[in-house]
Amino acid sequence: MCTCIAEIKESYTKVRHQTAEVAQQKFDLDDYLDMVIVVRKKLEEITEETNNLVETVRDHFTEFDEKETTELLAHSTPILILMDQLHQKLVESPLYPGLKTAAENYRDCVSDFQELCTDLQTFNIDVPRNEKCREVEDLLRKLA
Amino acid sequence: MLFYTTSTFRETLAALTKKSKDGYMSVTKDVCNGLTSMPANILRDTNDRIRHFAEYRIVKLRLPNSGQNLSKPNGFRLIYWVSMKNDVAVLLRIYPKRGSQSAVDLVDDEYDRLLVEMVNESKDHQLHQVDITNGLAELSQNECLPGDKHD
Repeated sequence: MCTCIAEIKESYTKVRHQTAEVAQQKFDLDDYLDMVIVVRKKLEEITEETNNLVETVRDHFTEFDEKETTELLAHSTPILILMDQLHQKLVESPLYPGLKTAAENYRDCVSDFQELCTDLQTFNIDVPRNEKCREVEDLLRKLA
Repeated sequence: MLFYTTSTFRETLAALTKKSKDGYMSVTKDVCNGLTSMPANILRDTNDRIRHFAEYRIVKLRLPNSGQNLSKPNGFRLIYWVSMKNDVAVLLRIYPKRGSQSAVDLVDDEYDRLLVEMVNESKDHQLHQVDITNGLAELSQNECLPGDKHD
């Protein structure tokens, strides 16, 4: 049971809102430079927030039980879909040359977040349910 | 702390360093830097741990790929087992996140296979001891985990 689950869920909500805001934004090309600055700043904010979220979940990774992990994964799926959509929109946008570094950093943080979700599924749900894994883990207790 | 390797770890490390054009030649240095930069208590309780028991931990350490200037998210993943009772760790697998040999993340069956291999190689005294301060140079072969020492 993790004590900081509420705080983590708040971070999930914040990342989702930030991502949705940029994903839904119309890129006004009449004011290209201002638009690049605004979108780049927002991307950097999402990247920082997501990196912090990933690190917080990693810090408490082994404290989540199956129910909490399932809740976190349920929160993650729509965020990851939204993040992928936003990245695709950025890559296809005429703004992309001005946003390349921020967009690449953003893509890396999405990839890190995706990896975290895979690890949560594997090690907090699939492995504890897998009888073969549990048997070999029990065996290793005696060898430690 | 004593560090051992399994045959899977040695094979994957050898494959990564076979061709310089793949961009993984810094892997040995990056593994050594990652492990030597952490004191034993952090090696055990790093926030990269993925399984947590009173007797041992399993860690998936994220490492940079210094040869390609890739940060931790895009670098290597080192899976290791570390005892909580003895100063012993076993390196199980290394894989890159990017490039021609990039691998998908572990699933439960692969995890099980790595642990079974470690148990069997310990039982058969086939673990190799390596020096993390000297480029993973082999110190000895025919090693086992503390629980198999009585054999």
